[in-house]
Amino acid sequence: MASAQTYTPIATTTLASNTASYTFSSIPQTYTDLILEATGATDYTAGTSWPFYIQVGNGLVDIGSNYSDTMLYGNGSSALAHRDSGNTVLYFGEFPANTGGTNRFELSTIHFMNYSNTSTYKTALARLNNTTNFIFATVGLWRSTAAINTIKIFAASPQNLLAGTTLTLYGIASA
Amino acid sequence: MATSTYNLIASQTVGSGGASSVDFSSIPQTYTDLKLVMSVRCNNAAFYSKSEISFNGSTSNQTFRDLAGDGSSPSSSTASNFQFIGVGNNNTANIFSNTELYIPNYTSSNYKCASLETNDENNSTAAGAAYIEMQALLWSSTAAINEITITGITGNFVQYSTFYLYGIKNS
Repeated sequence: MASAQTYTPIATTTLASNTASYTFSSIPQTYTDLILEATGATDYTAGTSWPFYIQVGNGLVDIGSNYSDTMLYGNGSSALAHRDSGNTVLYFGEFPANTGGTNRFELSTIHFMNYSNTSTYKTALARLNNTTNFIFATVGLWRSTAAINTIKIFAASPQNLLAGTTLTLYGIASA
Repeated sequence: MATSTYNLIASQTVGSGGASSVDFSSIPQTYTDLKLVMSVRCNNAAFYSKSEISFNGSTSNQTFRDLAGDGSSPSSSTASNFQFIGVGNNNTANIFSNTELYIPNYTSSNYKCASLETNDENNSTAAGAAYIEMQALLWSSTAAINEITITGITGNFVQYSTFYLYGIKNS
């Protein structure tokens, strides 16, 4: 008997135009973990990269000061660490600006553990691999026991995610 | 039953004679992303080995940035090649590296970004004997990737080194 599928695409999009944000909603509660693969860039043109953020929630995304993150990162010459507490967003790194020519997107992988449980706060592990300037390894926390069924990804204001950015959400089942 | 979206495309295990390189050619263009999982040890006389990755037979137009640590001071660097640290033959016996390469949108006409993470742990107290590294890779080519070659730079891959190439579909 074939084993059950455990790495299932839930939803995917490729942005057709520059877009401020994209939201995955009504996420099924039938998996154990979620993985968001984001291959992105922003429309920022005055530098080399620009931050993107994540908010999560149940129904609506939580815009309160209920997020924190701790990261280890490298800039090509030094290894550094940083943390945020009482934030209104999860900060997982920066996508390339739209200054490196066309065709330039970089990868972030975000792993949401036990996203559907209603007993614990939710932890996410993220990797951001950007050859433009930074490597990020980050742990993020949403201080809520609500199940996650909504995930929003967006560029820091006033910028947009660049057309061509691809966002795919996978469900991982433990059994 | 749902269609499988995470499939083994090909695998290779190095035999008793060792191998200077491992090649995956004619990669199907039917997936969204590729994932290469490697367990690597080389026969050079050092704690570490160094291996190189090329796409479509080319080591040109490669950009690299990393974050690494060996148990002492963390570091970050840049380079113009896709090289990663594995285990060398002076390391603890039977230790192989754990290395994952992830390539999203490998068939697209955009430049190809990728991530690589390698972890070498060996229960040794010797300075510099273990290693962990994250890499951002960019291949500035619009060609679809149809071949991946992994070459030992400091030595040949020893027996039982393994390479598994997976294809992942997003729908």
